[in-house]
Amino acid sequence: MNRREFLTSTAMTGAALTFMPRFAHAQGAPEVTEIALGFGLDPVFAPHIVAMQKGWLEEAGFTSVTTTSFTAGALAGEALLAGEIQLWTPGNLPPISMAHTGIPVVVLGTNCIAADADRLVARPEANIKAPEDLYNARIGLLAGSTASVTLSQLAKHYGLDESRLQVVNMPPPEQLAALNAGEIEAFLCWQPWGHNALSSGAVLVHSGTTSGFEQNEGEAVQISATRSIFVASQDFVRENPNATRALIGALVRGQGYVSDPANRDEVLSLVSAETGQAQEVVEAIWDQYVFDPTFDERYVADMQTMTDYLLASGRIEEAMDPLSYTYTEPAAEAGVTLEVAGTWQP
Amino acid sequence: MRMPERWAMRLVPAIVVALVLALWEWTVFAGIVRTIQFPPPSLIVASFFGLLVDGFPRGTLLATHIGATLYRILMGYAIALALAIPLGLVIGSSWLLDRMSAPVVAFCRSVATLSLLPLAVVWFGTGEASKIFLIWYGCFWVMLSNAIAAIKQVDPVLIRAARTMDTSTRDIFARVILPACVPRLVSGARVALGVGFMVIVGAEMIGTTLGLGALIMEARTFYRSDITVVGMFVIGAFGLLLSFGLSRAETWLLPWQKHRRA
Amino acid sequence: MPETRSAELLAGFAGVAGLLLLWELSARFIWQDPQTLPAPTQALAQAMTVLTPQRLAEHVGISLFRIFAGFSLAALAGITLGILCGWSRWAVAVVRPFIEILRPIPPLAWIPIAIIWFGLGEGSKIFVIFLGAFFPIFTSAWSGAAMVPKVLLSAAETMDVRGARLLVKVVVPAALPDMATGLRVGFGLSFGILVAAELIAAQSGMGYLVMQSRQLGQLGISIFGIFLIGIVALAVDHQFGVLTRKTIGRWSSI
Repeated sequence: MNRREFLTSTAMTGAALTFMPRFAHAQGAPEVTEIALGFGLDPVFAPHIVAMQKGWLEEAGFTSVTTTSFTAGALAGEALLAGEIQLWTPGNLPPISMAHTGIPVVVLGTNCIAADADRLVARPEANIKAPEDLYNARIGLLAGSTASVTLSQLAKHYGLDESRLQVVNMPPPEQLAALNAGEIEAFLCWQPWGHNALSSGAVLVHSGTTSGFEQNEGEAVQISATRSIFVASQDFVRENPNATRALIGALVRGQGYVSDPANRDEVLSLVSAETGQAQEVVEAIWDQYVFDPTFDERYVADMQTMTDYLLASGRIEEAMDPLSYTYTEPAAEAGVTLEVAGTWQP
Repeated sequence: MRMPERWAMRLVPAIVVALVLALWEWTVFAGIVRTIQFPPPSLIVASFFGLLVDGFPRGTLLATHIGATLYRILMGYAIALALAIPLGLVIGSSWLLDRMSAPVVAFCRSVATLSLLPLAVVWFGTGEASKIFLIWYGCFWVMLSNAIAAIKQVDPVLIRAARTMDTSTRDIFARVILPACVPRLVSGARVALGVGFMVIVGAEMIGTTLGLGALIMEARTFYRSDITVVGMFVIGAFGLLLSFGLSRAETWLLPWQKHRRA
Repeated sequence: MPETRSAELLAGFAGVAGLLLLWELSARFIWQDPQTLPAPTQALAQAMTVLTPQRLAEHVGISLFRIFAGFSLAALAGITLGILCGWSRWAVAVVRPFIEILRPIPPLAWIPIAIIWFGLGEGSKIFVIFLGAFFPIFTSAWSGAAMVPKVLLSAAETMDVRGARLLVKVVVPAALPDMATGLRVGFGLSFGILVAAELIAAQSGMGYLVMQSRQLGQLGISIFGIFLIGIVALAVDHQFGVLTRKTIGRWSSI
């Protein structure tokens, strides 16, 4: 071809590349095509489910996507460390513990804000109308979970002395059994346990975002800093930048889809089918999750709240800046709004 | 045994242990295994002292954890033995009782501690009782199986010999059958003790953050693999100690029966 | 009562049936809380709404595979090491401290190491089951080999049977009854540890069924799962007893 044609075709290719949609793998195919995602039974996995069902992960270049379900969170973290899964979606407490223990993990984004899903429920006979009534209640709580942070925040907000609260450590299924059997008067846990308790006759005392106390019933009180976040090992991100981008891109797309009210019914039935949770339950708790990946001051504040709890309870010695183990570029490239930027670089 | 042999016997395991530890430290040092996955002995020793002095979470010392667990295990184990040995001897001596109970015992032995957690909470609450129950449960069925087998395996020759010497039935039981059961009872007690320790992580999941089992769960929750390993070592050390104690008890009970080498 | 096979089975059934009846009655009339402690019939009904026969067979099948694999390895290692320890004082000195240290360690503590060493596949689950079954087998084999009656040993000596021949022809057979007890207990413990083993990212299995339904709040199915494990354990244990009686029962009362 002659020079004019050459220049034209180059210009056209350049223009095409500039305006190509962000999701497409213009920057290169993923380095690994097999990927394993840590999975669970919560509705928080909706974006993952949708991304898989709609084939967006395949589009992004992953030929094999496996999900591995874990009944306990600690197992998923251990699997991440062993390299058995590449993406972990925990609550925002375990990864902070890991980072402070020197374990090289990095946060890639927020999956959803699950503050409202934290629920403090009680037996009606326990008569918990005011914050001080909590002193008389045995409160079931899983030690070291995001729920324990929420309880601590509740105590702070209402001026309660945490050391006077009778906290009884046990896993969620036992919390429900104990509540029903009258062994404890209340428990604070994430969904669907609060919902199950209410179905058995318990009452809602306080949610992560709203009060149920008589004195300020219905008032918006933010006590929970719980989020579900995307976590990967630093080595994986360093060695597979394209795969990381592709993965986050697909998941962000999933978040957009599940947030859209038009897709609500479809998403609910998908989630119910994949997690085995009854559809009525998923529907009842769905609105408590906010699938907003935006990186803002609130993200930093939530992470800081968790870090402060770890410090205060003697689990870690020195606090780290949450942004130092947050990598925001893949999310930014997927179109997520960045009001704050992570300082970690590969 | 001659003196040099005896000393060599004490030395050999020590040397083997030292070699294993050195190899372990080296594999982490050489980068074959990463520290976060598999803490090296040096880190574990450091964490051990940290646990002794500072505790985990800060303020809860290792001694506190050990005390809580030992109390529960000893209670659950003692009650299990106290019930299982007499019951086992009775069941083992009756064909009917043995056959009727065999399926029940086999069934109960197969139920995992984790499966029993909700029931333990409902039946025994969230205090020490539920933990002791769970430990008891683990120890009891194993001890029972061994006690039943112990009496069934008594050499009939011994019983017949005693009969020829015109011994009363009570004396036959007390002075022939019972002593003949003791070695197997001790070996069963050893297995049962092991099971008692094995179930403490599950048993201590309810209503406590104190105890070696609870410590291991805490360590896993906060990804302190070094503390997990310290916990495992401490449990192992106590198990070893108590097992040696059992051996001593066996020698004391049966001075005439030493472990023979063929 | 004649000690026949059929009488034996009858006695066994009577024992189990009695217990089930007790549970059914107390669950229906005393507890009356199907959420917390369902009766056997209620648990079964709840399970049938969720499980198909194929899925059930899948769960049982994969669990049995894991148990047999772990148990076989444990039997091999346990019997070999146990007899060795019963035979040689040196073996005891070297091996025993390790085994006594490792014995009490809870399987839940081993899980992180199992994941690192064996990944999330069958290997890690089989490893955990191995840990459960090994120690009783080892202890019984050791105890059996070390407790050979002096009479037999002296008799063998007069017939000039020593060394390896003594081991194989006298010690091992004499240890068989104890080994059988150890194997039986070890098998039972394999089932007991199944739940912990299948925590490691299992997607099916009886232990998985118990834990998964517990996470979903379906206690009836969880109890059904516990029952399933127990019944399968029972069936296998029964076969064990039959086998033992046929082989060893001829010369020793088991």
